[in-house]
Amino acid sequence: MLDHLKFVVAAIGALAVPTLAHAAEKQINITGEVSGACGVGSPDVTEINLYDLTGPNGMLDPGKLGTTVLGRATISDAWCNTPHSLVMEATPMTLTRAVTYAQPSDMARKVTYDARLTGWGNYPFTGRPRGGSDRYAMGPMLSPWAASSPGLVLEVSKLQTLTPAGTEQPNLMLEYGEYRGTVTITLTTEN
Amino acid sequence: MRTTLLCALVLGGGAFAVSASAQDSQTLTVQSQVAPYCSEFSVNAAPMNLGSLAGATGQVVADFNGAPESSREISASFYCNAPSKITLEANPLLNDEVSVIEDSSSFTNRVDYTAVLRWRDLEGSASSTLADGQEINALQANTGPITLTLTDPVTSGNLRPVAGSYSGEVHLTITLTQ
Repeated sequence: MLDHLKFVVAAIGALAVPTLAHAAEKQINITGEVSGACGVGSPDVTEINLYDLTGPNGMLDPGKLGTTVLGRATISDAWCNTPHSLVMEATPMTLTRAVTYAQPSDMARKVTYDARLTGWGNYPFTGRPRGGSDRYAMGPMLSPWAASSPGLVLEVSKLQTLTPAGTEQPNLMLEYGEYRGTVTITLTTEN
Repeated sequence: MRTTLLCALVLGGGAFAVSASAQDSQTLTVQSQVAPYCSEFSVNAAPMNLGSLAGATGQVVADFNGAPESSREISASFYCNAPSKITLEANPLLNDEVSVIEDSSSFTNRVDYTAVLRWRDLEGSASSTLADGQEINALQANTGPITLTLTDPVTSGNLRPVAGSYSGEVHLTITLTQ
């Protein structure tokens, strides 16, 4: 009887010993997504003022014909995190005043210029608008890009008078008034 | 002859009476054991989806508050009946589709974060910027839910992450320390 009792106790002990003592390794996977996007910050100036265009004889100031930078705007933060393209659309500076008479052949109501963009890609990018709105495209660029300091810089230089047909012609007299053109820079993702 | 036989019977009866009235005891030792043990649990194979890692400026989001799943209960009731140790290791979120970044001064294909593990009242964390895992020591038996929370997204130098899909892992190693 005593031997039998010992056997029963031993059996209970065996049942209490777990068989799954262990070390466990687990892996939790995580995912995230970054959507393709581009951003163009605000320029430091919204208007590049070239001041009076005329020289002493009423024609375009000779000092504005060359490569000397006449005005500049900087966008300090411009970026694309994915393949993309850059488009610059520019219009000539055009007389804003309404004129009722036909344009004399020796006068100009439009002025073209070099719009030179640096900070995007490894080389400058230049447009020279002569029509209503000229479009200049860079890309597609296959890699993400962000303008490094100081940023995306637009410089205006090399002014020249235009005929009504948009042909550059020097020595035209500028009609008085305010002249305005626009440069629009657009970054667009390719995907 | 008759006298002799009678004495023998009396002696025999006396011997029987002594044995029946004596006290006796036996002590039995009941022995058992409980081995150190941690319960099993399985991990949901579906990844934790952190959603969009970049904000409107293209830089990494400030937190994962808007993520579809930044926190997960890994086990509703996990226990170890003895002191144990959890090693928590976080691997960064990587975009393996982009191996070379031309403008590496502006962009990165790596997003780091901090993994926070809570086991009942025990808590520890590990940053994916660290190569080694962080140990969370349970100095005594513990039981309760295990929850993993991912926080503090960051990129080195506040670089913008390039577009694409990112994946990473959190590794848990649970060991008994005795």
